[in-house]
Amino acid sequence: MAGETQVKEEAPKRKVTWMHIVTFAFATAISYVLAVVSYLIFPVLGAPGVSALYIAAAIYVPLGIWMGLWGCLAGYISCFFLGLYPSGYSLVQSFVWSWADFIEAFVPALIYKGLKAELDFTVKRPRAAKLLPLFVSTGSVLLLLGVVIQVLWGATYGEPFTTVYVALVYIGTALAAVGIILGLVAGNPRTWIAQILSVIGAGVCSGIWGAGTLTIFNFPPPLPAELFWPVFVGWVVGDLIVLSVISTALLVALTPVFKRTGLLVKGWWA
Amino acid sequence: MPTILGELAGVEARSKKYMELHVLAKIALPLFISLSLPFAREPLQALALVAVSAAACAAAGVPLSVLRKYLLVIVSMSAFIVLAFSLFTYIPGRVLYEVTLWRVQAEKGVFEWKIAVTDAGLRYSTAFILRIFAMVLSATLLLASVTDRDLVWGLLSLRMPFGACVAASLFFRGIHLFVSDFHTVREAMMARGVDFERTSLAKRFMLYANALIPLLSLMITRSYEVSLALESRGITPGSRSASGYHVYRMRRSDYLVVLAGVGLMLAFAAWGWSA
Amino acid sequence: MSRVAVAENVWWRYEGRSDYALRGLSLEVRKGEVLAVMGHSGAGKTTLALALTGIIPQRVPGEFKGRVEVMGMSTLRVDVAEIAKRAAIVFEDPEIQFVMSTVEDEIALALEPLRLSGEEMRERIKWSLELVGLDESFLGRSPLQLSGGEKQRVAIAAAVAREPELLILDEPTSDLDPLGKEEVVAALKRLRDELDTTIVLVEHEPEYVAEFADRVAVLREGRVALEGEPGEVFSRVEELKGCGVYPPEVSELSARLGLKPVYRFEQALELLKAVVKGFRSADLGDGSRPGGVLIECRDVHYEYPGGVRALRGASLEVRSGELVALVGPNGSGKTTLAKVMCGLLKPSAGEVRVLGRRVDEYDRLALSSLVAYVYQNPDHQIFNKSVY
Repeated sequence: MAGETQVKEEAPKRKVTWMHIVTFAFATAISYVLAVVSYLIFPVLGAPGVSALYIAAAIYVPLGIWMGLWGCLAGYISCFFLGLYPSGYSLVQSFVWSWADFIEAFVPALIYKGLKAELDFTVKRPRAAKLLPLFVSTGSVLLLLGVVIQVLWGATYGEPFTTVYVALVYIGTALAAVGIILGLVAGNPRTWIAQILSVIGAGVCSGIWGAGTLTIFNFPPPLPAELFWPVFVGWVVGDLIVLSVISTALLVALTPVFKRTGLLVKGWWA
Repeated sequence: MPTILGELAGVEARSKKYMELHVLAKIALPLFISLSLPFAREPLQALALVAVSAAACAAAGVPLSVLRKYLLVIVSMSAFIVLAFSLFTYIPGRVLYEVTLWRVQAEKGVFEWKIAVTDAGLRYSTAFILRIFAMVLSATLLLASVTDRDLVWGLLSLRMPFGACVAASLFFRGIHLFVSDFHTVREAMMARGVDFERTSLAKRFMLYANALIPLLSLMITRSYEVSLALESRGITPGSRSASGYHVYRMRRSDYLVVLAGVGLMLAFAAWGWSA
Repeated sequence: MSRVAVAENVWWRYEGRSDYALRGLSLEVRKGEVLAVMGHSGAGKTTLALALTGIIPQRVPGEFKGRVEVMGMSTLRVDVAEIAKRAAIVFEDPEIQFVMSTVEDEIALALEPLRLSGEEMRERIKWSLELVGLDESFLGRSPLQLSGGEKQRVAIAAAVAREPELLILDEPTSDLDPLGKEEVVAALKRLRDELDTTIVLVEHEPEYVAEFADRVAVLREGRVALEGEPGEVFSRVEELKGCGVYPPEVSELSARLGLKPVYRFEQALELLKAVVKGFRSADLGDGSRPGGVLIECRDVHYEYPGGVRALRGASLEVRSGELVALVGPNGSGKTTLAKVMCGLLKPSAGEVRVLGRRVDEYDRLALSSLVAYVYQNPDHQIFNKSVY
């Protein structure tokens, strides 16, 4: 009888397997443990659950890039339980707030799929890859601070706030532009540009929801609305650092592992 | 079975009767307390809600000393709430204290940043701070009483797919596993000469970041092994329980607890609207 | 004798690897037998076990060639879930097999594919626990809090509860201490005697193979190198060693003495009684002592948070040039003592000295350069992407 040959990568149907479920469950657990650790070691006082350096994001954001909505759910559930303990938010408040981490994983996944960027993190110029997070995160932080100053004070009072805003925007944009150029030369240009956009997009979008639900809209918001801008800036800055430094490093190190184990999903679920 | 709070903070509900309630009842009570929060806008209403939450915790056998675990949260939030209402905004009312911190002659007017404490601001702050207590107590009641077995049986009895039921169980198991892994990896770093106590915050950040590589490798290896074991069980993620084994019915006491929760929420809603 | 499973010219390569784990392996499993599969690490034993359940090639990415049929079902065409209703596997590490919070829930989950009534499931759960020597008091316990032997027996109970026609046991005693091994071996004896099932036993320990197996297959580099009855296979001592497998010590002893080949302790005893007339005392050497004291523990106590007293007055000296083995059952304090000696744990009482100085007088870097600790699981201590 002739031997039957089957090559796994040509299997026509993708379906959710136990490997997806188990990896998702364990990743959620590890995200929760790291969320608690991050909050206890690097807290933002006055905003429970918000960490100056939220290391858990380095797990579920790359997981969203590798495994689509599984990563987003991991972010949501880990944040939900973080909201309950040790942050002390109620069930409903936590339910609403946790969408911030869902968004944080969803935005990068959407960007990668939208740009049709391959998950090719081979580094051709290691120095550029190392400097990239510094320029992107610093540039983005300065840009953000400039915008906040203009919104809060510059628009109402004009100078000297407007000058500060303009200076920060120019410097921030320049640094971010250098970061983008470094991204183009570090390796696969599309992949690295997608990564830069993901880092910035994830931080800003999740910051809007996260800070917003803590201060402006929730059932009820646990903090006064006046704290939106400080919480938002702290959130975004922390995310930029963690995502540009740690999640990029994890994507470089572990993407081959995810490819090898068949965990990489092509769609949103499988 | 340990609860999340039991696993992480050593706090569990000690009342046997409460722990025997159906998982829906154990979730409903904290849920309705949390749904009552938006209506507790005045200090008296917030105080009443705190009293109800504390009573619920006491009935469940949750020691109120658990609030010590949330001390940092409560104190820091309280401080920032007071700052928010005195530093970042001005609530009109009788001014009790005022001082200007920074004054700048800007292009379009005078920018002043001052601390202004008014009676209305203090009232708002009090209500917010009391609500924090109610929040913390409702979260504690939930996490100290719901076990992973409650959740999983609840899902199985609702004929949810095995994927969801097993994922819920593995999430709780994973917490225990990775707390243990985290300590072991930290210890392994110490064995290599790392001294966490004498390291700067920045260096500690990078050390913890480095610890993610072995932690994630372990996660992937474990996931692979556990998934192989699950494949061999003959159930698929999408299949559902067809046996009559996981029967989890609500009893009269469960319905009473749920009704009490609904009543509580309606009472606070009525009070909130009338005030 | 009819066949329960057959593997014909099977080739398997895991995704991302260049070499094949199985290279043209052909093997049959006969109904009712206990077939032992032995071989060196990496010979393909676990891969074969996974192939017999259909998990390879259906759930593991890679390249598959050949044919595997289990109870007449092709592992290429029939879904793993269907095959799993009739074939069960128990893995080496009991912990990875537990996904639920109680023993009862664990076994109940294993019975779900059979779509039994609640009452039937309860009966099966009790029956399977009794079969492995556990009673109903285990039902409400968490599998993770059991001893190693108990964990593995629960895993076996979950597998046999389905009354599988084929039961595959992948090194069921490897991860266990001696007491745990004894418990599992006793459970396997009961299985063999009471259950009408065919067993494939992947095992390193030749004594267990000798005790249980009707037939032995030895794998080498992805192929069957030796196959036959235990007596026949174990008599080929040098060939076995070439495959990275050691025969029972009595087999090697009888071969070296030029005696009739034996593979069971009782057979060796009978043989030796007939042959050996007396004994001579042996020269045990000059008993030279190793060098100076490197690590000294004096009356060390250690209590874990939660009140578990792992060490109660342990005293030990480790001298230069020595190889000291810390042996004992699970929970006896071996790992705790080792960590105390490295300074990773601080004793609650007693003293630990390294090179004459107290351990707490060293800083972390200096101590780690004198006393190194290697963990059981390598994944806990690899932090970088490259070996360099």
